[in-house]
Amino acid sequence: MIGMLPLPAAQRDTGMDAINAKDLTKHFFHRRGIFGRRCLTAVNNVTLSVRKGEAFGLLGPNGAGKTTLIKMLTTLITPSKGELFVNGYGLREEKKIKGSISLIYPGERSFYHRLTGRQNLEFFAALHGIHPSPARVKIGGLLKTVGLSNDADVWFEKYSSGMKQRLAVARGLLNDPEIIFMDEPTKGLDPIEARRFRRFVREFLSGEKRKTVFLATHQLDEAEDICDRVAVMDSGEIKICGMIGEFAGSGRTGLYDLLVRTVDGGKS
Amino acid sequence: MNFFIKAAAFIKKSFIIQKNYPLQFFIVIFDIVLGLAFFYFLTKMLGQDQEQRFGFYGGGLFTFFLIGMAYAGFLYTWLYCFSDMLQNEFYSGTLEVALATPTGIFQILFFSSLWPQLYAFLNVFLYFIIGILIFGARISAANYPLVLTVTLVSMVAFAGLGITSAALLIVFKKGDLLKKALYVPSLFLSGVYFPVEALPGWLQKISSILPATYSLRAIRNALGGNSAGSVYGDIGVLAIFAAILFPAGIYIFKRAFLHSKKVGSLTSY
Repeated sequence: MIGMLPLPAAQRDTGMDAINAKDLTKHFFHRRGIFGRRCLTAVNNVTLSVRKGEAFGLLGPNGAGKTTLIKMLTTLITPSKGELFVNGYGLREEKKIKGSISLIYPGERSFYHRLTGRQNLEFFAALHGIHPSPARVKIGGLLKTVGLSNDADVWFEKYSSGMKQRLAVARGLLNDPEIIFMDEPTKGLDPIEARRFRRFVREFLSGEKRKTVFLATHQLDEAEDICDRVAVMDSGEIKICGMIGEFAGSGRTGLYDLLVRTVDGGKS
Repeated sequence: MNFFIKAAAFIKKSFIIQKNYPLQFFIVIFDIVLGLAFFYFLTKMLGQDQEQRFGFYGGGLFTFFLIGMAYAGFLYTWLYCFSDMLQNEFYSGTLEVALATPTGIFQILFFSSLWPQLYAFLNVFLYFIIGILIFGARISAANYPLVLTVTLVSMVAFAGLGITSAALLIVFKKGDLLKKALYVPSLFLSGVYFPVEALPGWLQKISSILPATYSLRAIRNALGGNSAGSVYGDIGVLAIFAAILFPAGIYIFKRAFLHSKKVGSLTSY
Protein backbone atom coordinates (compact mmCIF):
# COMPACT_ATOMS: atom_id res chain seq x y z
CA MET A 1 0.00 0.00 0.00
CA ILE A 2 1.27 3.43 -0.88
CA GLY A 3 1.29 6.21 1.70
CA MET A 4 0.14 6.01 5.26
CA LEU A 5 -3.14 5.70 7.03
CA PRO A 6 -3.64 8.09 9.92
CA LEU A 7 -2.68 6.85 13.33
CA PRO A 8 -5.44 6.02 15.78
CA ALA A 9 -6.53 9.12 17.68
CA ALA A 10 -5.27 7.78 21.01
CA GLN A 11 -1.71 7.61 19.67
CA ARG A 12 -1.52 11.17 18.42
CA ASP A 13 -1.28 14.61 19.92
CA THR A 14 -4.88 15.57 19.26
CA GLY A 15 -4.14 19.16 20.32
CA MET A 16 -2.42 19.59 16.98
CA ASP A 17 -5.38 18.25 15.05
CA ALA A 18 -7.83 20.50 13.31
CA ILE A 19 -10.00 17.54 12.38
CA ASN A 20 -10.09 14.23 14.13
CA ALA A 21 -12.59 11.63 12.92
CA LYS A 22 -12.81 8.05 14.05
CA ASP A 23 -14.95 5.37 12.39
CA LEU A 24 -17.17 8.04 10.86
CA THR A 25 -20.01 6.33 9.04
CA LYS A 26 -23.10 7.50 7.22
CA HIS A 27 -25.91 5.26 6.07
CA PHE A 28 -28.71 6.54 3.88
CA PHE A 29 -31.93 4.64 3.49
CA HIS A 30 -33.83 4.72 0.22
CA ARG A 31 -37.34 3.50 -0.31
CA ARG A 32 -37.70 0.36 -2.34
CA GLY A 33 -41.28 -0.37 -3.30
CA ILE A 34 -43.98 0.37 -0.76
CA PHE A 35 -42.58 -1.30 2.34
CA GLY A 36 -38.96 -2.02 1.54
CA ARG A 37 -35.95 0.19 1.97
CA ARG A 38 -32.39 -0.13 0.84
CA CYS A 39 -29.39 0.93 2.90
CA LEU A 40 -26.64 2.82 1.12
CA THR A 41 -23.42 3.38 3.04
CA ALA A 42 -22.12 6.70 1.74
CA VAL A 43 -19.23 6.92 4.21
CA ASN A 44 -17.87 3.79 5.82
CA ASN A 45 -15.71 3.80 8.96
CA VAL A 46 -13.58 6.76 7.97
CA THR A 47 -10.77 7.46 10.40
CA LEU A 48 -8.97 10.62 9.53
CA SER A 49 -6.92 13.36 11.06
CA VAL A 50 -5.93 16.71 9.62
CA ARG A 51 -3.32 18.80 11.36
CA LYS A 52 -3.67 22.48 12.04
CA GLY A 53 -2.37 24.57 9.16
CA GLU A 54 -2.34 21.61 6.80
CA ALA A 55 -3.81 21.67 3.29
CA PHE A 56 -5.53 18.35 2.97
CA GLY A 57 -7.04 16.99 -0.23
CA LEU A 58 -9.79 14.44 -0.50
CA LEU A 59 -9.63 12.85 -3.93
CA GLY A 60 -12.11 10.51 -5.46
CA PRO A 61 -14.51 9.94 -8.31
CA ASN A 62 -18.09 11.23 -8.34
CA GLY A 63 -20.21 9.43 -5.77
CA ALA A 64 -17.21 8.41 -3.65
CA GLY A 65 -18.71 10.03 -0.53
CA LYS A 66 -16.57 13.19 -0.44
CA THR A 67 -19.46 15.64 -0.14
CA THR A 68 -21.20 13.52 2.50
CA LEU A 69 -17.97 13.43 4.50
CA ILE A 70 -17.59 17.23 4.24
CA LYS A 71 -21.20 17.71 5.30
CA MET A 72 -20.60 15.57 8.36
CA LEU A 73 -17.41 17.45 9.19
CA THR A 74 -19.29 20.74 8.92
CA THR A 75 -22.22 19.41 11.04
CA LEU A 76 -24.75 19.67 8.21
CA ILE A 77 -25.40 15.93 8.37
CA THR A 78 -25.47 13.82 11.51
CA PRO A 79 -23.16 10.78 11.33
CA SER A 80 -24.77 7.36 11.77
CA LYS A 81 -21.76 6.25 13.77
CA GLY A 82 -18.34 7.41 14.84
CA GLU A 83 -16.58 10.18 16.71
CA LEU A 84 -15.71 13.59 15.40
CA PHE A 85 -13.74 16.50 16.77
CA VAL A 86 -13.33 19.70 14.80
CA ASN A 87 -10.95 22.24 16.29
CA GLY A 88 -11.20 20.24 19.49
CA TYR A 89 -14.99 20.55 19.68
CA GLY A 90 -17.21 17.48 19.69
CA LEU A 91 -20.48 17.18 17.84
CA ARG A 92 -22.38 18.33 20.92
CA GLU A 93 -20.67 21.69 20.54
CA GLU A 94 -22.05 22.28 17.07
CA LYS A 95 -22.27 26.05 17.45
CA LYS A 96 -18.59 26.29 18.40
CA ILE A 97 -17.63 24.13 15.44
CA LYS A 98 -19.61 26.37 13.11
CA GLY A 99 -18.03 29.47 14.56
CA SER A 100 -14.55 28.18 13.80
CA ILE A 101 -15.00 26.86 10.25
CA SER A 102 -16.24 27.99 6.89
CA LEU A 103 -17.47 26.22 3.81
CA ILE A 104 -16.66 27.43 0.31
CA TYR A 105 -18.91 26.16 -2.47
CA PRO A 106 -18.74 26.67 -6.19
CA GLY A 107 -19.95 30.26 -6.40
CA GLU A 108 -22.84 30.05 -8.87
CA ARG A 109 -25.49 29.41 -6.25
CA SER A 110 -25.69 30.16 -2.55
CA PHE A 111 -25.86 33.94 -2.93
CA TYR A 112 -28.76 36.36 -3.33
CA HIS A 113 -28.75 37.36 -6.99
CA ARG A 114 -30.46 40.70 -6.50
CA LEU A 115 -28.07 41.87 -3.82
CA THR A 116 -24.69 43.35 -4.58
CA GLY A 117 -21.54 41.51 -3.60
CA ARG A 118 -21.09 43.85 -0.64
CA GLN A 119 -24.70 43.48 0.51
CA ASN A 120 -24.39 39.69 0.34
CA LEU A 121 -21.29 39.79 2.51
CA GLU A 122 -22.96 42.17 4.99
CA PHE A 123 -25.81 39.71 5.37
CA PHE A 124 -23.58 36.69 5.94
CA ALA A 125 -21.39 38.69 8.33
CA ALA A 126 -24.50 39.30 10.44
CA LEU A 127 -25.17 35.55 10.49
CA HIS A 128 -21.76 35.17 12.07
CA GLY A 129 -22.78 37.78 14.64
CA ILE A 130 -20.33 40.40 13.39
CA HIS A 131 -21.52 43.92 14.22
CA PRO A 132 -22.25 46.16 11.22
CA SER A 133 -19.42 48.69 11.72
CA PRO A 134 -16.52 46.21 12.03
CA ALA A 135 -18.21 44.11 9.35
CA ARG A 136 -18.05 46.99 6.88
CA VAL A 137 -14.33 47.46 7.52
CA LYS A 138 -13.67 43.73 7.26
CA ILE A 139 -15.72 43.37 4.08
CA GLY A 140 -13.85 46.26 2.48
CA GLY A 141 -10.56 44.51 3.23
CA LEU A 142 -11.77 41.12 1.99
CA LEU A 143 -13.16 42.55 -1.24
CA LYS A 144 -9.77 44.12 -1.83
CA THR A 145 -8.02 40.83 -1.06
CA VAL A 146 -10.09 38.92 -3.62
CA GLY A 147 -9.92 41.72 -6.16
CA LEU A 148 -13.58 42.72 -6.14
CA SER A 149 -13.35 46.24 -4.71
CA ASN A 150 -14.38 47.85 -7.98
CA ASP A 151 -17.35 45.52 -8.46
CA ALA A 152 -18.51 45.37 -4.84
CA ASP A 153 -21.66 47.35 -5.53
CA VAL A 154 -22.77 45.42 -8.59
CA TRP A 155 -25.60 42.90 -8.36
CA PHE A 156 -24.33 39.36 -7.82
CA GLU A 157 -26.23 38.15 -10.89
CA LYS A 158 -24.02 40.37 -13.06
CA TYR A 159 -20.84 38.71 -11.82
CA SER A 160 -18.82 36.31 -13.94
CA SER A 161 -18.23 32.78 -12.62
CA GLY A 162 -14.75 33.77 -11.47
CA MET A 163 -16.05 36.81 -9.61
CA LYS A 164 -18.74 34.71 -7.96
CA GLN A 165 -16.12 32.27 -6.77
CA ARG A 166 -13.96 35.08 -5.42
CA LEU A 167 -16.96 36.43 -3.53
CA ALA A 168 -17.51 32.93 -2.09
CA VAL A 169 -13.93 33.00 -0.84
CA ALA A 170 -14.45 36.43 0.72
CA ARG A 171 -17.55 35.10 2.45
CA GLY A 172 -15.59 32.10 3.67
CA LEU A 173 -13.12 34.41 5.40
CA LEU A 174 -15.67 36.65 7.13
CA ASN A 175 -15.45 34.83 10.47
CA ASP A 176 -11.68 34.35 10.27
CA PRO A 177 -12.14 30.56 10.37
CA GLU A 178 -9.49 28.14 11.53
CA ILE A 179 -10.55 25.54 8.96
CA ILE A 180 -11.80 26.23 5.46
CA PHE A 181 -13.71 23.43 3.77
CA MET A 182 -13.95 23.51 -0.01
CA ASP A 183 -16.11 21.21 -2.10
CA GLU A 184 -15.18 21.27 -5.79
CA PRO A 185 -14.36 24.98 -5.51
CA THR A 186 -13.22 25.49 -9.10
CA LYS A 187 -16.16 23.74 -10.71
CA GLY A 188 -17.28 25.82 -13.68
CA LEU A 189 -14.25 28.12 -13.71
CA ASP A 190 -12.13 28.66 -16.78
CA PRO A 191 -8.53 27.38 -16.52
CA ILE A 192 -7.04 30.82 -15.88
CA GLU A 193 -9.50 31.68 -13.13
CA ALA A 194 -9.10 28.18 -11.64
CA ARG A 195 -5.35 28.59 -11.58
CA ARG A 196 -5.65 32.02 -9.96
CA PHE A 197 -7.93 30.53 -7.32
CA ARG A 198 -5.50 27.70 -6.55
CA ARG A 199 -2.60 30.09 -6.23
CA PHE A 200 -4.68 32.24 -3.88
CA VAL A 201 -5.47 29.25 -1.67
CA ARG A 202 -1.89 28.02 -1.67
CA GLU A 203 -0.12 31.33 -1.19
CA PHE A 204 -2.59 33.37 0.80
CA LEU A 205 -4.82 31.02 2.80
CA SER A 206 -2.33 28.24 3.44
CA GLY A 207 0.91 30.22 3.23
CA GLU A 208 0.23 33.65 4.67
CA LYS A 209 -2.82 33.04 6.85
CA ARG A 210 -1.84 29.50 7.93
CA LYS A 211 -5.42 28.28 7.61
CA THR A 212 -6.25 24.61 7.64
CA VAL A 213 -7.67 23.79 4.21
CA PHE A 214 -9.81 20.73 3.56
CA LEU A 215 -10.38 20.33 -0.15
CA ALA A 216 -12.67 17.78 -1.79
CA THR A 217 -12.03 17.46 -5.48
CA HIS A 218 -11.70 15.04 -8.33
CA GLN A 219 -9.29 17.29 -10.15
CA LEU A 220 -5.81 15.96 -9.63
CA ASP A 221 -3.97 19.10 -10.66
CA GLU A 222 -6.01 21.04 -8.13
CA ALA A 223 -5.00 18.69 -5.33
CA GLU A 224 -1.40 18.85 -6.45
CA ASP A 225 -1.38 22.65 -6.57
CA ILE A 226 -2.98 23.13 -3.20
CA CYS A 227 -2.46 20.16 -0.90
CA ASP A 228 0.30 18.90 1.36
CA ARG A 229 -1.39 15.58 1.90
CA VAL A 230 -4.13 13.70 0.08
CA ALA A 231 -6.46 10.81 0.73
CA VAL A 232 -8.22 8.83 -1.95
CA MET A 233 -11.82 7.98 -1.22
CA ASP A 234 -13.92 5.45 -3.07
CA SER A 235 -17.20 3.71 -2.24
CA GLY A 236 -17.35 5.59 1.04
CA GLU A 237 -13.95 4.44 2.28
CA ILE A 238 -10.56 6.09 2.52
CA LYS A 239 -8.43 3.76 0.46
CA ILE A 240 -5.10 5.44 0.89
CA CYS A 241 -3.67 8.53 2.52
CA GLY A 242 -0.28 10.19 2.41
CA MET A 243 1.93 13.14 1.52
CA ILE A 244 1.80 14.09 -2.12
CA GLY A 245 5.57 13.71 -2.40
CA GLU A 246 5.38 10.13 -1.15
CA PHE A 247 3.56 8.86 -4.18
CA ALA A 248 5.67 7.24 -6.80
CA GLY A 249 6.47 9.40 -9.82
CA SER A 250 5.46 12.45 -7.82
CA GLY A 251 3.44 15.11 -9.54
CA ARG A 252 0.34 14.86 -11.65
CA THR A 253 1.21 11.49 -13.23
CA GLY A 254 1.86 10.02 -9.82
CA LEU A 255 -1.47 11.22 -8.50
CA TYR A 256 -3.27 10.01 -11.61
CA ASP A 257 -1.70 6.58 -11.26
CA LEU A 258 -2.58 6.53 -7.60
CA LEU A 259 -6.22 7.36 -8.27
CA VAL A 260 -6.55 4.84 -11.09
CA ARG A 261 -4.85 2.08 -9.14
CA THR A 262 -6.87 2.78 -6.03
CA VAL A 263 -10.27 3.29 -7.55
CA ASP A 264 -10.17 1.28 -10.73
CA GLY A 265 -7.70 -1.40 -9.82
CA GLY A 266 -5.51 -0.23 -12.71
CA LYS A 267 -8.01 -1.29 -15.38
CA SER A 268 -8.18 2.12 -17.07
CA MET B 1 -27.41 42.30 20.70
CA ASN B 2 -26.66 39.62 18.13
CA PHE B 3 -30.39 38.94 18.02
CA PHE B 4 -31.15 42.46 16.77
CA ILE B 5 -28.20 42.51 14.36
CA LYS B 6 -29.43 39.32 12.74
CA ALA B 7 -33.07 40.40 12.72
CA ALA B 8 -32.09 43.69 11.08
CA ALA B 9 -29.90 41.87 8.54
CA PHE B 10 -32.75 39.59 7.47
CA ILE B 11 -35.20 42.47 7.17
CA LYS B 12 -32.69 44.61 5.28
CA LYS B 13 -31.84 41.77 2.90
CA SER B 14 -35.49 41.06 2.08
CA PHE B 15 -36.31 44.77 1.77
CA ILE B 16 -33.48 45.35 -0.72
CA ILE B 17 -34.49 42.31 -2.78
CA GLN B 18 -38.12 43.50 -2.78
CA LYS B 19 -37.00 47.01 -3.71
CA ASN B 20 -35.14 45.59 -6.67
CA TYR B 21 -38.43 44.35 -8.10
CA PRO B 22 -40.24 47.74 -8.14
CA LEU B 23 -43.04 46.61 -10.43
CA GLN B 24 -44.20 44.08 -7.85
CA PHE B 25 -45.32 46.81 -5.47
CA PHE B 26 -47.51 48.42 -8.11
CA ILE B 27 -48.99 45.05 -9.02
CA VAL B 28 -49.96 44.59 -5.36
CA ILE B 29 -51.71 47.98 -5.34
CA PHE B 30 -53.41 47.18 -8.63
CA ASP B 31 -54.62 43.83 -7.21
CA ILE B 32 -56.02 45.54 -4.12
CA VAL B 33 -57.83 48.21 -6.10
CA LEU B 34 -59.22 45.69 -8.58
CA GLY B 35 -60.37 43.27 -5.86
CA LEU B 36 -62.03 46.02 -3.83
CA ALA B 37 -63.66 47.51 -6.95
CA PHE B 38 -65.20 44.11 -7.73
CA PHE B 39 -66.81 43.87 -4.30
CA TYR B 40 -67.73 47.57 -4.27
CA PHE B 41 -69.81 47.26 -7.44
CA LEU B 42 -71.25 43.93 -6.26
CA THR B 43 -72.39 45.70 -3.10
CA LYS B 44 -73.88 48.52 -5.13
CA MET B 45 -75.77 46.04 -7.25
CA LEU B 46 -77.27 44.39 -4.16
CA GLY B 47 -78.64 47.74 -3.02
CA GLN B 48 -79.03 49.64 0.23
CA ASP B 49 -81.06 46.99 2.10
CA GLN B 50 -78.38 44.35 1.75
CA GLU B 51 -75.79 46.85 2.87
CA GLN B 52 -77.69 47.67 6.05
CA ARG B 53 -78.02 43.99 7.02
CA PHE B 54 -74.28 43.96 7.61
CA GLY B 55 -74.37 46.99 9.87
CA PHE B 56 -73.66 44.90 12.97
CA TYR B 57 -70.18 44.15 11.58
CA GLY B 58 -69.32 47.79 12.03
CA GLY B 59 -69.96 48.99 8.50
CA GLY B 60 -71.90 48.00 5.44
CA LEU B 61 -71.47 44.95 3.24
CA PHE B 62 -68.50 46.52 1.48
CA THR B 63 -66.70 47.00 4.81
CA PHE B 64 -67.44 43.35 5.55
CA PHE B 65 -65.73 42.35 2.29
CA LEU B 66 -62.87 44.77 2.90
CA ILE B 67 -62.06 43.27 6.29
CA GLY B 68 -62.38 39.74 4.88
CA MET B 69 -60.01 40.44 1.99
CA ALA B 70 -57.41 42.14 4.18
CA TYR B 71 -57.66 39.28 6.65
CA ALA B 72 -57.23 36.64 3.93
CA GLY B 73 -53.87 38.18 2.99
CA PHE B 74 -52.82 38.27 6.60
CA LEU B 75 -53.90 34.67 7.16
CA TYR B 76 -51.88 33.57 4.16
CA THR B 77 -48.78 35.25 5.54
CA TRP B 78 -49.22 33.76 9.00
CA LEU B 79 -49.60 30.29 7.59
CA TYR B 80 -46.95 30.49 4.89
CA CYS B 81 -44.25 32.98 5.77
CA PHE B 82 -42.12 30.27 7.38
CA SER B 83 -42.38 27.65 4.66
CA ASP B 84 -42.25 30.17 1.79
CA MET B 85 -39.11 31.83 3.06
CA LEU B 86 -37.49 28.49 3.82
CA GLN B 87 -38.33 27.32 0.31
CA ASN B 88 -36.76 30.48 -1.14
CA GLU B 89 -33.59 29.76 0.81
CA PHE B 90 -33.63 26.16 -0.48
CA TYR B 91 -33.93 27.31 -4.08
CA SER B 92 -31.33 30.05 -3.85
CA GLY B 93 -28.92 27.62 -2.21
CA THR B 94 -28.36 29.96 0.71
CA LEU B 95 -29.86 27.76 3.43
CA GLU B 96 -26.87 25.44 3.58
CA VAL B 97 -24.48 28.37 3.90
CA ALA B 98 -26.63 29.93 6.59
CA LEU B 99 -26.77 26.64 8.47
CA ALA B 100 -22.98 26.42 8.38
CA THR B 101 -22.84 29.61 10.48
CA PRO B 102 -23.50 29.79 14.23
CA THR B 103 -27.03 31.08 13.50
CA GLY B 104 -29.40 28.27 14.43
CA ILE B 105 -32.30 27.00 12.34
CA PHE B 106 -34.94 28.50 14.64
CA GLN B 107 -33.31 31.90 14.36
CA ILE B 108 -33.18 31.56 10.59
CA LEU B 109 -36.83 30.53 10.56
CA PHE B 110 -37.93 33.37 12.82
CA PHE B 111 -35.83 36.13 11.23
CA SER B 112 -36.86 35.03 7.73
CA SER B 113 -40.50 35.50 8.67
CA LEU B 114 -40.07 39.09 9.85
CA TRP B 115 -40.13 40.76 6.46
CA PRO B 116 -43.21 38.89 5.14
CA GLN B 117 -45.02 39.81 8.35
CA LEU B 118 -44.07 43.46 8.05
CA TYR B 119 -45.11 43.36 4.42
CA ALA B 120 -48.44 41.80 5.41
CA PHE B 121 -49.05 44.69 7.83
CA LEU B 122 -48.29 47.12 5.00
CA ASN B 123 -50.69 45.20 2.78
CA VAL B 124 -53.50 45.46 5.35
CA PHE B 125 -52.77 49.15 5.78
CA LEU B 126 -53.05 49.63 2.00
CA TYR B 127 -56.34 47.72 1.93
CA PHE B 128 -57.86 50.00 4.52
CA ILE B 129 -56.43 53.23 3.12
CA ILE B 130 -57.66 52.39 -0.40
CA GLY B 131 -60.96 51.01 0.93
CA ILE B 132 -61.66 54.11 3.00
CA LEU B 133 -60.31 56.83 0.71
CA ILE B 134 -61.43 55.47 -2.67
CA PHE B 135 -64.43 53.29 -1.91
CA GLY B 136 -65.82 55.01 1.18
CA ALA B 137 -65.59 52.12 3.65
CA ARG B 138 -66.64 53.05 7.19
CA ILE B 139 -64.38 52.07 10.08
CA SER B 140 -64.95 54.85 12.54
CA ALA B 141 -65.66 53.08 15.82
CA ALA B 142 -62.72 50.68 15.86
CA ASN B 143 -61.15 49.71 19.16
CA TYR B 144 -57.52 49.61 18.00
CA PRO B 145 -55.88 48.30 21.19
CA LEU B 146 -58.33 45.39 21.03
CA VAL B 147 -57.61 44.85 17.32
CA LEU B 148 -53.92 44.74 18.15
CA THR B 149 -54.47 42.24 20.97
CA VAL B 150 -56.49 39.92 18.72
CA THR B 151 -53.84 40.25 16.02
CA LEU B 152 -50.99 39.33 18.35
CA VAL B 153 -52.75 36.30 19.86
CA SER B 154 -53.82 35.17 16.38
CA MET B 155 -50.23 35.52 15.12
CA VAL B 156 -48.94 33.16 17.79
CA ALA B 157 -51.68 30.60 17.08
CA PHE B 158 -51.14 30.73 13.31
CA ALA B 159 -47.36 30.77 13.69
CA GLY B 160 -47.72 27.32 15.25
CA LEU B 161 -49.45 26.13 12.08
CA GLY B 162 -46.99 28.00 9.87
CA ILE B 163 -44.01 26.40 11.59
CA THR B 164 -45.67 23.00 11.18
CA SER B 165 -46.03 23.80 7.48
CA ALA B 166 -42.29 24.54 7.35
CA ALA B 167 -41.63 21.20 9.06
CA LEU B 168 -43.63 19.46 6.32
CA LEU B 169 -41.56 21.29 3.75
CA ILE B 170 -38.33 20.05 5.31
CA VAL B 171 -39.49 16.43 5.41
CA PHE B 172 -41.66 16.11 2.31
CA LYS B 173 -40.20 18.99 0.26
CA LYS B 174 -43.76 20.22 -0.22
CA GLY B 175 -44.87 23.06 2.02
CA ASP B 176 -48.34 23.57 0.61
CA LEU B 177 -49.91 20.53 2.27
CA LEU B 178 -51.40 22.74 4.96
CA LYS B 179 -52.56 25.19 2.33
CA LYS B 180 -55.04 22.71 1.00
CA ALA B 181 -55.93 21.45 4.44
CA LEU B 182 -56.30 24.77 6.22
CA TYR B 183 -56.04 27.97 4.20
CA VAL B 184 -58.68 27.26 1.57
CA PRO B 185 -61.20 25.79 4.06
CA SER B 186 -60.58 28.79 6.32
CA LEU B 187 -61.39 31.16 3.47
CA PHE B 188 -64.60 29.29 2.88
CA LEU B 189 -65.70 28.46 6.42
CA SER B 190 -64.37 31.20 8.69
CA GLY B 191 -66.45 34.13 7.55
CA VAL B 192 -63.97 35.73 5.17
CA TYR B 193 -66.41 36.44 2.31
CA PHE B 194 -69.75 35.64 3.95
CA PRO B 195 -70.92 35.25 7.58
CA VAL B 196 -70.50 31.84 9.18
CA GLU B 197 -74.22 31.98 10.00
CA ALA B 198 -74.96 31.66 6.30
CA LEU B 199 -73.49 28.15 6.26
CA PRO B 200 -75.53 24.98 6.90
CA GLY B 201 -75.34 23.70 10.48
CA TRP B 202 -72.85 20.89 9.85
CA LEU B 203 -70.44 23.26 8.11
CA GLN B 204 -70.78 25.71 11.00
CA LYS B 205 -69.61 22.90 13.30
CA ILE B 206 -66.49 22.44 11.18
CA SER B 207 -66.03 26.18 11.18
CA SER B 208 -65.99 26.16 14.98
CA ILE B 209 -62.79 24.12 15.08
CA LEU B 210 -60.88 26.56 12.87
CA PRO B 211 -58.88 29.25 14.71
CA ALA B 212 -59.49 31.65 11.83
CA THR B 213 -63.21 31.71 12.71
CA TYR B 214 -62.51 33.14 16.17
CA SER B 215 -59.73 35.38 14.99
CA LEU B 216 -61.73 36.97 12.18
CA ARG B 217 -64.89 37.35 14.25
CA ALA B 218 -62.90 39.05 17.01
CA ILE B 219 -61.22 41.38 14.54
CA ARG B 220 -64.54 42.27 12.92
CA ASN B 221 -66.08 43.01 16.32
CA ALA B 222 -63.07 45.03 17.46
CA LEU B 223 -63.00 47.00 14.22
CA GLY B 224 -66.75 47.51 14.40
CA GLY B 225 -66.51 48.97 17.88
CA ASN B 226 -68.71 46.25 19.37
CA SER B 227 -68.48 45.59 23.10
CA ALA B 228 -65.11 44.36 24.33
CA GLY B 229 -66.91 41.54 26.14
CA SER B 230 -67.93 40.00 22.82
CA VAL B 231 -64.26 39.90 21.81
CA TYR B 232 -62.76 38.53 25.02
CA GLY B 233 -64.39 35.12 24.59
CA ASP B 234 -62.84 34.74 21.14
CA ILE B 235 -59.47 35.94 22.43
CA GLY B 236 -59.68 33.24 25.12
CA VAL B 237 -60.30 30.53 22.52
CA LEU B 238 -57.46 31.90 20.38
CA ALA B 239 -55.16 31.87 23.41
CA ILE B 240 -55.94 28.16 23.91
CA PHE B 241 -55.21 27.51 20.22
CA ALA B 242 -51.94 29.47 20.61
CA ALA B 243 -50.95 27.58 23.77
CA ILE B 244 -51.38 24.27 21.95
CA LEU B 245 -50.36 25.03 18.37
CA PHE B 246 -47.23 27.09 18.97
CA PRO B 247 -45.31 24.63 21.17
CA ALA B 248 -46.58 21.79 18.98
CA GLY B 249 -45.24 23.56 15.88
CA ILE B 250 -41.85 24.13 17.52
CA TYR B 251 -41.67 20.48 18.61
CA ILE B 252 -42.68 19.13 15.18
CA PHE B 253 -40.22 21.42 13.42
CA LYS B 254 -37.38 20.41 15.72
CA ARG B 255 -38.11 16.74 15.07
CA ALA B 256 -38.32 17.36 11.33
CA PHE B 257 -35.03 19.26 11.34
CA LEU B 258 -33.17 16.57 13.27
CA HIS B 259 -34.71 13.91 11.02
CA SER B 260 -33.59 15.69 7.86
CA LYS B 261 -30.06 16.09 9.25
CA LYS B 262 -30.07 12.40 9.95
CA VAL B 263 -31.29 11.31 6.52
CA GLY B 264 -29.21 13.96 4.77
CA SER B 265 -32.12 15.70 3.09
CA LEU B 266 -31.83 19.01 4.88
CA THR B 267 -30.63 21.07 1.98
CA SER B 268 -32.02 19.10 -0.94
CA TYR B 269 -35.27 20.14 -2.56
